Amino acid sequence: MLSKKSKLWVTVTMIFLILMALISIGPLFWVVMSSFKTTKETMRDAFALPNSWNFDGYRVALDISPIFKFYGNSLVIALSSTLLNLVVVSMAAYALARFRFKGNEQLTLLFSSSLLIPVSALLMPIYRIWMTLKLFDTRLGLILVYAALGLPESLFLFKAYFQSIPKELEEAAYLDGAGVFRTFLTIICPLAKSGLATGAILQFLKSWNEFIFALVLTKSTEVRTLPLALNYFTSQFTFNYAAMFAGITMAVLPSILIYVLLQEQVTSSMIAGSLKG
Amino acid sequence: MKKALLFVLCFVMALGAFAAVQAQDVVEINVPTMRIGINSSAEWFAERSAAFNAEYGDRIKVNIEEIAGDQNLVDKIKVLYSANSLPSAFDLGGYNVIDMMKDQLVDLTPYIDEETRANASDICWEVNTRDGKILGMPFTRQVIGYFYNKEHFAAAGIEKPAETWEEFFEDCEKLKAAGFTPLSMDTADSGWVTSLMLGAMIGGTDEGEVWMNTALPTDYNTEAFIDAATKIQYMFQNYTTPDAIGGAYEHAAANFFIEETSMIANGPWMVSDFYDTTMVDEDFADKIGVAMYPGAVMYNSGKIGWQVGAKDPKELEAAITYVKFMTSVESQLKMLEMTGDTPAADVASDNVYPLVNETTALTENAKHSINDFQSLWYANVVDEISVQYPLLAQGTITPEEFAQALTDTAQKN
Repeated sequence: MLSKKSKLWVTVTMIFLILMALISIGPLFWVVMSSFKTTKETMRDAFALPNSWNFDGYRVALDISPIFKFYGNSLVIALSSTLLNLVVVSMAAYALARFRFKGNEQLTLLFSSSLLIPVSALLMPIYRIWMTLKLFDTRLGLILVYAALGLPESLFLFKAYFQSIPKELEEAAYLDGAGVFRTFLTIICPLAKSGLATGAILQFLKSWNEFIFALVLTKSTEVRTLPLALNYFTSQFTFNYAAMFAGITMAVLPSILIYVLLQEQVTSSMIAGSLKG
Repeated sequence: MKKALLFVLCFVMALGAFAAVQAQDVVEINVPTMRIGINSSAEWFAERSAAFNAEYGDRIKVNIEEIAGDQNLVDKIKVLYSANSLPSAFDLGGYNVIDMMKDQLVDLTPYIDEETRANASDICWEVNTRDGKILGMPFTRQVIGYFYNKEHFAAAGIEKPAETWEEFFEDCEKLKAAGFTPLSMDTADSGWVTSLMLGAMIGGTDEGEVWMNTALPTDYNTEAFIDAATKIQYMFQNYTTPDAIGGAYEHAAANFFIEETSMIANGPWMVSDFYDTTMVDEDFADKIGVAMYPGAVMYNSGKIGWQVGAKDPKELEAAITYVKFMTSVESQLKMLEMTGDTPAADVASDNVYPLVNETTALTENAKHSINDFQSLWYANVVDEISVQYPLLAQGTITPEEFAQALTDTAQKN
């Protein structure tokens, strides 16, 4: 039997959790419900449930925007840039975390300092370089930019994580005859799995949501990404709420589904990352 | 046998050379556009693009770059300008970048013959001209009054639209007393609807009319501007919906469509929405009237047209052909019929919604014809309005401080 105090505590906790769940699920529920309403219904009462299950918004959204093509591009570009960032930055972070060499600190500072450069200042130079290198309007162009944009955060995260792993484990591997690369690959990476996963998630989200480089560095619908598709549903003097909410629903639901399926891994890696970082 | 082989070889080579020459003759031009998706002129652009391809497709290949969202296109053009890579041809729906980019835009003057010149009225050419050089080819005109809900007016005992601003504010009080919110207003995206009201107040005198037709003003500390800002502040605080602060055009329009508000300032391109039953009730269009602003003020001016950034001579020639096609009288009439946007040429069509022609007819009785802020003011001032309007609306800054903030921004150019 729970005491009165414990019962009160459980009730307060439950209320708090329900409230948090509502705050988290509420906006998503609202967007999905609004996608089944007509624009008129949304204008009249934004928070009312739909009068009927109307799929016109989805039909219009698919008619006027290449949303699935953009979705596929987003998936390829975000996954590739995440992988590239993970491979390159983890190795750089390992070297900076473990080896003492001249210029180590300066190099770390240099990599991290790119955090201070505003994106708008990078746009034009990158555009010109990409034009020269024939990377303009290519998926590879976006992959390289996104992988580089995530460099400072990933470096900071990975370096801190590698530093928290006891050196003795590597020394034991060296004694057993393993080289630096093998030690990194077979000893360090598995131990740093949580940290690497945290970095990968952050990098993926950054690439997935990025808008301005996708706009400036591409011109054909063949390589464009999802954030650009959502602009097909509003313009200065016209709007179609039904299509816009349908578009948002189609854009976010798969990612939420993936998150729900991988929830345990994501949460544990985030917690582990926060503790060890 | 050898002769026959030689003949076939020569024939194939000649065919190849002919094909190569043919292929070389097709000039490619790049045209970014925001006229896609749900943009009201998307259908017009698609129809005109198809017509252009049918007529010139064997000589000119148009690579359309779809950029959804008006502001996104403006942002991209700014980056391309910084990189000295403006596209072959583009139009920004009237948004003024001519002054910022005049050093890279092609002077179209040598390409404007008498026939082309007749495609637009003088006022339209003037808006697109800088230092004697025509930098934009006009195809639409800016004609804007305001729309009002006749049922609301009748219920509030208002017989006709106000002729003075005093009457206008009295009518707002009557509407409020009758249970209606008098005005649709906004602050985001340069506060289009609100700024139209602001401009109309300034343009009600001869002096104000001149100011509202002056390109790139750098001093907003005028009596007329501060007086108009004072009225706008009062409107924000008394006659509009709570979502006006932070809201964009779509929120202002939505409030008018659901008959929450009684008046909205906007152009005739909005009229087709009055008939769209996914947005409004079936008889909505019958309830709507159009009026000129108090003081007999109408927005009636030229609009920034198509601009050309092509550098290569062949590309330039193709771009000029394209722009002339898109701005032809035929294209203008299609635009009028498909979107309600007023042509730059003095032409009319019966195949449009009555309110569109009624709006154009109002210009004949207007005492003051003014231009809109998006066409005339510096781009950074247009952006700054969205920052300053919420502060003005909430009373955080005074109308004088509002004017000073815009002056400071303009003088940074």
